Amino acid sequence: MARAAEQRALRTPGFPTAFGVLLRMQLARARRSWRQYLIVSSAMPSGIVILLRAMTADPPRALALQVIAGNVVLSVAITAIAMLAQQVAWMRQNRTFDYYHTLPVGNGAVILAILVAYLLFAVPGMAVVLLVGAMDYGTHVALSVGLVPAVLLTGVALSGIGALIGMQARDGELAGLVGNLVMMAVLFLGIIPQAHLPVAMRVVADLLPSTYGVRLLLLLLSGGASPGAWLIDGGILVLFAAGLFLLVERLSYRIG
Amino acid sequence: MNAYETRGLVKMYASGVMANDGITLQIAQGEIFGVLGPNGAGKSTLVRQMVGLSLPTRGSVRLMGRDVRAHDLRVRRTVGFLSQRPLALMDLRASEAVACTGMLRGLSRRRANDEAHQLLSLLGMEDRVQRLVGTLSGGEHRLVGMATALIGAPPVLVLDEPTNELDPVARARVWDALLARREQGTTIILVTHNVLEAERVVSRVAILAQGRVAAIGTPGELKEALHQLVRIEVAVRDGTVPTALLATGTATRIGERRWRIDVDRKRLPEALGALGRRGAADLDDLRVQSASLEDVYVAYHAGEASYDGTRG
Ligand SMILES: Nc1ncnc2c1ncn2[C@@H]1O[C@H](COP(=O)(O)OP(=O)(O)O)[C@@H](O)[C@H]1O
Ligand SMILES: [Mg+2]
Repeated sequence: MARAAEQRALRTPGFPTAFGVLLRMQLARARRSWRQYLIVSSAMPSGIVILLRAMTADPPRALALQVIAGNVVLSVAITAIAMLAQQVAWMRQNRTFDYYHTLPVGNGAVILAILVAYLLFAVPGMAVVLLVGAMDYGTHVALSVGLVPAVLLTGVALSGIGALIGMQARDGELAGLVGNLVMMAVLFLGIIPQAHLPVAMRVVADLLPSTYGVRLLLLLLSGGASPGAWLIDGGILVLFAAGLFLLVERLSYRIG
Repeated sequence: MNAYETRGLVKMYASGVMANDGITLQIAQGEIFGVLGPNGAGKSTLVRQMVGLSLPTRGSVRLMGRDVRAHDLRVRRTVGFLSQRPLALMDLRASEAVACTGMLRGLSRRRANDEAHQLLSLLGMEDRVQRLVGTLSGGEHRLVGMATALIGAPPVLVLDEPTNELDPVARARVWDALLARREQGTTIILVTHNVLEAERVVSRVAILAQGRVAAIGTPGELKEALHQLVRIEVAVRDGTVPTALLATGTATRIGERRWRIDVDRKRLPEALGALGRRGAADLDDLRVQSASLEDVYVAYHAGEASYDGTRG
C-alpha cells in the first residue's frame, strides 16, 4: 500500500519550470496594474530630475549624471522597496503563501519570482527617468549593456529589502510606511554625492545597497566602469542580493 | 498503513487560545473522512497542521507513516489542499490559476491546460474559464479553489469547507467529484457544515467540540448510539390524528394539521398500525425517518450525547 501511494505521489517540477510558472503568475498582476506601476515609479523621480535641473544654472556634467543615476535607482526603489514591501505584507496577511506552501515548489523559487516580477515592473519607469534625465540636462549619457546587469543587481538587492520589510511588518500599512522611509533614504543618499554627506549619514549610506548601485550606474553613464569598480560595487551588490534573498526565504518558512 | 495519524495533537496559539486539545485520529487510505463541529471548534487548525501549514505545539501528525514536520516536500507532493480562506490568485484567469497549479504539481503545460478545462467543466464553470479569479462570485471562486486542489490527482485531499458558499447544484457537483476520486482510491479529509449531504459521502466522521474529539465513528454508528428513535411526521386534512398513534411516542403538534411523533424503534410497527387503521383517504403527508447525522451533530453540540466508536 505504502509503495503504491509512494509511486502515486506527484512529481516535483524542476527549479526552472517552477520559477517560470511562478513568474508568470506574478506578472499577471501587471495586466490590470501596469499603468499604476509605470506612473508611480516614474513620476516622482522624473519630477525630481526636472526640479533639480531648474534650480541649477548650467550644472556640471558630473552633477547631472549623479542626479540621473540617483533617480534611476530611486525609481527602482519605489517599486522594489515601497510597493513590494506592501505587497509581501499583504500576501502574508491574506495567506497567499499558504497556497504556495502546499505545493511541491521551494520557497526560494516563490520569493525569487516575486522579486523578479517587481524588478520587471520597475523597468519602464526606470527607462522613462533615464530618458527624461538625458533630455532635460542635454548631456551625453553613455548607454551600454553594462547598465542591464548593474540595474538588475541593484534591483534584486533593493527588492530583498522590500521583501524583508514585508515579511517583518505587522501589516500592510506599516510595511508601506517603513518602505517609504527607506525609499526616502535611498533618494537623499543617492542624489547627494557621498563626499558632501555628514559622517553619520555616510554610515547609513554604506549600509544601503542603493549606494553601490548609484555608484556603479554613475560610472557606467559617464563612460564605463573599470573591472575594479565592477568587482567592488558589483560584488557588494551580489552579497547584498544573496544575503537578503536567503534571509527572506528563511523567514517565509516561519509559519503559524 | 493509515493515510493519516495524529497523536495527542495540541495547538495553542500565541494568543493563548487552545485550538486543538489532544486530538488522536487514524484515517485509513481510501477513506472519506468528515470533520464536523461548530465554528471555532478547531477544525481548520487541525487540517492546517495536517498539511504542514501550522506546526503542532505538542503531539504529531503522520502522513503515510512519516512525520509531516520532517517531510515537508513529501507532504506537498502527496496532498491537495483547499484552504477555508479564498484562493489568493486574483489576477489570473480561472483556467490559468488551475493550470499553473497543475504545472507546479509537475504536469506538462499541455496536460495541465487540458486537466484545468476538464475540472472546471466538471464543476460547472465552463463559461468562467476566461474570467479573472478576482472578478468571480464567492461560490465560483470556491470552485476554482476546488479545481486547484484536484488538479494533478493528488493521492490525498484535505479540504476545508469545500461546499461553503455553493448553491445546491454546485454542491452536488463537488460531492460527485469527490465520490469519483474515492473510486480512484484517493483519501479525502473534509471539513464541512453540510452535514446532511456529507452523510451520503463520508465513511467516517469526527465531531470536534472545543478542540477535542467529541465523537468519532461511521454515520450509522453515531446515529445508532444517539438514540433508538424514529421520527414520524404526519399531516391530515381534518387535523385529527389517532390518539393510538400519538400514544406510541412523544408527540408534538408542529402545524395546524401536522404532527411529529418520536417513536422508539421497537414500537414502530404499533405506530404504523394505528395509522393504517385510520385509512389513507385524507392523509396529506407522511414521513418516517431515523435520526440523521444532523440530529447527531446537534445532540453532541448540545452536550446530550457522548459516544466514541473506537471504544465501542
Ligand atoms: N492564527 C490564529 N491565531 C490565534 N487564534 C486562532 C488562530 N486561528 C484560529 N484561532 C482560534 O482558534 C480557535 C479554533 O479556530 P479554527 O481552527 O479556525 O476553528 P474552526 O475551523 O473549527 O471554526 C478559535 O477560537 C479561533 O479564534
Ligand atoms: Mg474553519
